[in-house]
Amino acid sequence: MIEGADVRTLLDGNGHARVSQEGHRHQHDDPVADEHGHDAHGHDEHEHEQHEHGHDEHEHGQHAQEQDAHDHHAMMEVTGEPSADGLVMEDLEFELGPLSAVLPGGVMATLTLDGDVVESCGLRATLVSADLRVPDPLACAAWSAIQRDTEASMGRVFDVELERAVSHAAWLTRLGRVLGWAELADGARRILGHALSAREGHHEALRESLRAAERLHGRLECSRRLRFRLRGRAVVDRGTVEAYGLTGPAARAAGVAFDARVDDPAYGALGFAPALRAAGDAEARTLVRLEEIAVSLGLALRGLDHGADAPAAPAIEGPRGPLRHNAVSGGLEASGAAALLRVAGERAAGLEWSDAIAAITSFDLSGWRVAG
Amino acid sequence: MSNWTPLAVLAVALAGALAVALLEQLVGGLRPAPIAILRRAAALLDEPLSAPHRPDAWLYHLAPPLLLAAAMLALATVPWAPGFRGIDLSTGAILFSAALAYVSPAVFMAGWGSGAPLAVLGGFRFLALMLAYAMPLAMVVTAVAAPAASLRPTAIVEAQDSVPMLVSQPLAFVLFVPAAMAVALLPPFDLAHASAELGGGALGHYSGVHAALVGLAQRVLVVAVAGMTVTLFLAGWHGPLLPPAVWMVGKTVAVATLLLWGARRVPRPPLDWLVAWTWKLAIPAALGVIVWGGLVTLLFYR
Repeated sequence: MIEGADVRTLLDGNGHARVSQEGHRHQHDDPVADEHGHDAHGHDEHEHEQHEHGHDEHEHGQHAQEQDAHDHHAMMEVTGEPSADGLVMEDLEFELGPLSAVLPGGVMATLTLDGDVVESCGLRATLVSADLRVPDPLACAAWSAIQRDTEASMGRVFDVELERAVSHAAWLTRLGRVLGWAELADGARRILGHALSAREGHHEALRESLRAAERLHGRLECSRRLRFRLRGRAVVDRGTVEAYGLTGPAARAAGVAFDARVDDPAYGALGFAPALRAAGDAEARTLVRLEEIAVSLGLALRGLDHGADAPAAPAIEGPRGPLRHNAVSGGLEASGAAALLRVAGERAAGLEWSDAIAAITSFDLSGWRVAG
Repeated sequence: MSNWTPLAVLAVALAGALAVALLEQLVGGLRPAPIAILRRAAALLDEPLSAPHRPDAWLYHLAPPLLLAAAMLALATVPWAPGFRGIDLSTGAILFSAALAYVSPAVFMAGWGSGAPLAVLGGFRFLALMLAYAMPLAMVVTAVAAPAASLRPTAIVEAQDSVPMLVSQPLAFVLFVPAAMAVALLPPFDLAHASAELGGGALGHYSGVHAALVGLAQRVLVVAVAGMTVTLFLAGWHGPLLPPAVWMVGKTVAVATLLLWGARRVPRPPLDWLVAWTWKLAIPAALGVIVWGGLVTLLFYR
């Protein structure tokens, strides 16, 4: 499933560096041999007989040694376009996923590397749910909440917001691991642990989770370490959001206040306002989700205490964007998911490997897709 | 050095590796579980070897033993007590740097030998990282040896009987610690073998006894660099009341804990940023440290 190119053909002893599985193909294009009018293979004995020096394969080898002595650079000649720093390197093409530790589960990437810089990156989601009405079975609480649109209840707010907090906290743990920042991963895991307990019915854990979330949010809001690692990476501006139809935290991090909860009377009754940032970079997406964790846990707590019901809205705002019930197909749809994969791949291009992986992670991609 | 030294170094390596594994659990907020660690190691030894898709066999199989040999040789240069001084060569401090110089070919061999794209990328990254840490590491050792007028580690310890080098050459300590963390494959300098960024990178394609050797080598490296940090900067085994070996072990555990704790606090820096700032800042500072070491020697040690 994970295929790696044999990188050692890049510096093959044949003297030509081409990414190829077939050694013979190299020699047909041997410019050094072409200079001297030779067939580099030396297969054609008729040509050899006709040669005025009467070469045989042994003499051809000697002649090749003389050619090498004349031009050392031919031994290490690399063909291709120069990179941004002027070095000419062969591209490395390979696929990663869907079970790679580097990418979210289910996401596959087709990558071309120029040295350690990502030249191009194509991302796709490969997991299809057996139950086509639920695109992401791992976020079942969020999805199942939309099926209760005929039953308006604050319980829906509790379920959806807790699901969002759990999803974002799990994502934050992953971001901490990708950045090699164990302290961040530990903080996120603390929030996640308490939120999972709350999901299983221990509502006192909700307050613990909220306290941990507010502490982490306060520390990271002005964190120089976070800024150093994520600021200015993979910027998505308002124009891109509108052109691609992006939704969810990625859009809100670019200043586009599109959130299905704004139109939901239940959230209005709880005094909800969406978390927004303007920069649109990886740092902004991280801070938006951090703020949403604290806001979601607060909403879940207030929803528990509120008691009163409100009319249902046609869509809910899932952790990655709005989730709607499709009356025609009878299924559920997550608009913006495919666009997010496309934008993440495009923004990773041109970045050095560690920045590219951090940028892809900052989009919180899902490996699940709706079939058809 | 006696006939027992190799066995003693091996014993220190195994005990030290277990201690580092326990410290990793402690620093990570987990309950230390030595039996579980030993069980996991035994399970690794029991696991079948599985080579990657297209390995370069010689390099792939030789890299873990080379890494362990480098770690053990570096550890052997650390003096633990007046009665147990390790190899105790007159050029022991340089032998320490020379032994650690084999870490980079070992990691590169592991990456190249694995034949997978991210493993090769990890190998090349470690070579670039070596450009960043190797010079400060070696230059600081020179500066610290000057007041002792010797490269013998025990002489450097004896020169600190009144004032540790941490006090007389603090900048040397500040430069040495990150370089030591990098050569010991510790975060935030785990650019070559990051699990979530490179899928294990250069060291991620090993299983069974190879994985056990790599894990052991990483922990022995931590013990070696922590022990040498104490030798060079914290006056080695000197201390009141307690036996010298207790002081040395206690200080080494403290330094190892500090290294492991610090490893969790900072995100992994981008490689080009790291190399650029090391060459612009750390290496000139290391030159300054050598000059400062000379001044300190002239003023206070002659």
